[in-house]
Amino acid sequence: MKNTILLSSFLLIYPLALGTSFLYAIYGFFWKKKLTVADGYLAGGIISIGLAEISHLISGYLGWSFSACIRLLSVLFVVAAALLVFMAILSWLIRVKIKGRNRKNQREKERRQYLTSAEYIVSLLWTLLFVACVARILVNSDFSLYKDLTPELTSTFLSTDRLFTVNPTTGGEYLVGAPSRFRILCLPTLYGALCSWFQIEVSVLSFRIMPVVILGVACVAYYTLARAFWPDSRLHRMVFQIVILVLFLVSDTCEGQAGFLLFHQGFSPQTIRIAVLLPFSLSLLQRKRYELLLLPVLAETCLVWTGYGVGWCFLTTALWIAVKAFSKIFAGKKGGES
Amino acid sequence: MIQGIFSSYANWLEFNTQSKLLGVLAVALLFLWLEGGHKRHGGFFWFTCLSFVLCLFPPTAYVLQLYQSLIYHGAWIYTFIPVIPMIGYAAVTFILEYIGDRQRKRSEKWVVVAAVLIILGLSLGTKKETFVEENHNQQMKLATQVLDATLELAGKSGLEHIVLWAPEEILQYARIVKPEVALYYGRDMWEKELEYFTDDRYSTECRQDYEWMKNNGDIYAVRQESDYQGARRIHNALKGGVNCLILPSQSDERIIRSIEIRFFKKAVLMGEYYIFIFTEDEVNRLA
Repeated sequence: MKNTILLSSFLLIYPLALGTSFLYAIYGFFWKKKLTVADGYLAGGIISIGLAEISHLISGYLGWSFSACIRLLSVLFVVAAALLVFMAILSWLIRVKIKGRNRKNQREKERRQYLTSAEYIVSLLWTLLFVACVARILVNSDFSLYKDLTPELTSTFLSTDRLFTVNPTTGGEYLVGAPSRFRILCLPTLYGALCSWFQIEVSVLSFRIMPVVILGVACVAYYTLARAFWPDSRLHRMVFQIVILVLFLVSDTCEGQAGFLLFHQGFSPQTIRIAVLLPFSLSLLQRKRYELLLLPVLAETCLVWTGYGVGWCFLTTALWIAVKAFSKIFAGKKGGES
Repeated sequence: MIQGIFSSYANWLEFNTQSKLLGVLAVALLFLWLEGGHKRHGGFFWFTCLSFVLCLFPPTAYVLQLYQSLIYHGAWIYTFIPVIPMIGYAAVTFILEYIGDRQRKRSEKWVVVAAVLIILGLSLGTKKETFVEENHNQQMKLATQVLDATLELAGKSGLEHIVLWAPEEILQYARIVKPEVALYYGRDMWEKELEYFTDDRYSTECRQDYEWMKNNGDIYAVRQESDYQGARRIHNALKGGVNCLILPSQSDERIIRSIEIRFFKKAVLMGEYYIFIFTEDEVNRLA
């Protein structure tokens, strides 16, 4: 229990600190209202996945043991966090010196707006629904291993202390091998590192902790989308969050939809792609933060088996830009005719 | 190519049996179009429409299926459509802007609300049973208990490396809860989609052994076989390196007795399973 609480705290605090520092380090001078702490949290999670991918690839290429891979990942986590926090502080100091504190004070004032009674009721309803969803994951035992090898791979890495030399389905040495596209996917490495750091069993991490964490992260991703739709209306955002939770509950019958994945396969990379990366991409596109789109696109490549490394996030971006370009041309023609 | 296009249509039908979300999405898009809600976030609205059309039209659906790579089921292309965000957006517009609009007639609102309630009251889909293990926790607990007992027996027999042959419900959790145990065959034997993740393939003999084990709990199927066939399967598994055998207690008594007599082994009954442990010498001698 103690380890579970420690792990949950780590999964809450580390990505938040890393991602917020990353965004502040980059946008310190030009921090716009459109970027929020939620963006920071998601960016931090994606950067963590990127770090896991780096250590996974280096260890695989150099033939290191899995424990060496975990040690490298620990070093990368510490160095990245230290570097980004340092850069963020530097950026903040320079900003305060140049622009003063006025803007910050103004923003704090904006934040201190009190909730209206309608917003209180809606937020209470959201909390109840979220607790119901968490209970649904923890109490019900209808999980699915269908088409996913993440728990087996994590267990195999930890028990053999080697990467991709043992077939995860049988536990015997590979006779021919595994496809290279499969070998570069890093989620089992990240899970293995979390199990090793916090002394948690793979089955507990996969079937209990990660589904709840990913449900929470999905809510954060949908919050960024709500903020993109209604930047000025808190009530709209809250109602949107409630509707999303209801839709998660309703869509759990359907293979591939976010609800199904969150409640039955919350540990799988597919869930992260569909419940987190896609809504985050949409919110970035909606807010025209095109430069940050690289994060979900790369995360998808590191997590999910995609054709030639490009998945739904990339296609979403391409299609969205095409739609925008076409509507501009269409609007221009219409304007010309009138 | 033509077959692929036809399969896209079959995927569409299959998806709609499992869920009516795409129908609700169509209603949401229509509502936003009629109410002018699409103008506010045109990019999102038209993107959703376009992705919806691309997934519906069989030739483009087939192209998307190729794009997502063939390791996924065809119905997974519908995950590309932002179904939940768009329905959520339309629902908020409906609740806060349509119902909340004081200039609109009450009767008109009630008709629309009634229509929405009817849609929500209809069946929203049926879960495909093969996807989900309903008693996952219970199954995993049971598998862990049986595996613990097996490991204990193997330890007493001096076995260091265990290669296990057991029914599916034990094997599917074995690699997660007891990764030190190697298996005669893994989940990729009965989940064809997992074959993409490995270049190794099972031999025909091994596949026949799997079929035999699968039918072992089925008393009627087993009775049609002679106990000689069962012994042949076990010989074959021992040749393949198996040194731990678990059989369901519903297995035909004849099979259990025949194994005990032919291989000079006494079965250990653990809950609903019989466990046989073969030492290294015995495996070498019998195989």
